[in-house]
Amino acid sequence: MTARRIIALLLRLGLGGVFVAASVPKILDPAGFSRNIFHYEILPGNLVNAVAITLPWVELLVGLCLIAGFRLRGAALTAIVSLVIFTAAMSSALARGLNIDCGCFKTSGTPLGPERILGDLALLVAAVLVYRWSGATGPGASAASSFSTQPTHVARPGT
Amino acid sequence: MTTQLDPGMRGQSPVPGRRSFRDACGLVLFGILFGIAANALSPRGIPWVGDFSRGAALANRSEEELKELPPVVELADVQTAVAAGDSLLAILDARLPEDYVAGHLPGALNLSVDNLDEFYAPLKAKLERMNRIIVYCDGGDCELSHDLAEALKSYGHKRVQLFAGGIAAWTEAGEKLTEGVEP
Repeated sequence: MTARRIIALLLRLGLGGVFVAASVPKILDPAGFSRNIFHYEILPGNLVNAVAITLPWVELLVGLCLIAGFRLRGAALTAIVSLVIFTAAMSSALARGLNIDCGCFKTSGTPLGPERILGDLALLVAAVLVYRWSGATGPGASAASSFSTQPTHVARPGT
Repeated sequence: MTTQLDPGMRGQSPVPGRRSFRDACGLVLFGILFGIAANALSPRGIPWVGDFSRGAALANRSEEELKELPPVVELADVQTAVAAGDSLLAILDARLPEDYVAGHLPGALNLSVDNLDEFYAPLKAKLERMNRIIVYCDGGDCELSHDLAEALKSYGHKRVQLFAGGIAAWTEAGEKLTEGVEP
């Protein structure tokens, strides 16, 4: 196993673990998470609970897929999109001077600060690497570029 | 010339990017379905449209929980306490250190709920001598003071009070803030 494959494996396991760890407290306390979302003052009030009910489950599935290597590029893509949205929401809240709970790993006691945004950006880099390194497949791709358990996409010329 | 897929790839999109997008949509869809099912079955389920007024938040609490809420102090009470300089009163700012440095109530100490254990340790002995503790944050929707009040109660401090108006009410009343790391 090459160093790159090991790094890629650790990245997706780490990223998956973070997504699972972030989702569980929100699943256990949807009311608290809905207050977290409401305090960002981004979504209209009547959409807040719908997001609080569904988003943690998407996070959980993404995390489990990353850990299991199942639908890896799809999971990495979902992670990228969600991390971009989270980072934008946190940056917006900080720019508006809101002093609120982040709602990142716990539903209380985690104040929003610049370090949370840096953490999200680091996760975003990891997600992009997981997406890229799990994508190149086929006869021309190096062994290190694919660590998915998904069947590789190989086409052969026909007649 | 045509392209023929391997047998194992039949039924899958020939474009990897498209397949990733389809998988991502599937994950989101399944997540939404799991969320809907879990919310319907869980005793912790919440209504699809929430009411976020303070009255609703209190109405959703049990009688026991209501008894546990820290008593709220009004602006006038805090103004009197600050002016008196009571040595057995501690005023605690629950916000991040950088917010505290930018401006805090005169005499207030910073006890950020982020890394609470680290911030609490050096203040523990002092706070245990106090017969009254007032906590605050920005006011409005800021919940940091609520979190701090609950944490202090769990540490055994009994007379913890919440200045819900916080920095917003203080400055709106024309009161001045103290800048820097010193109380």
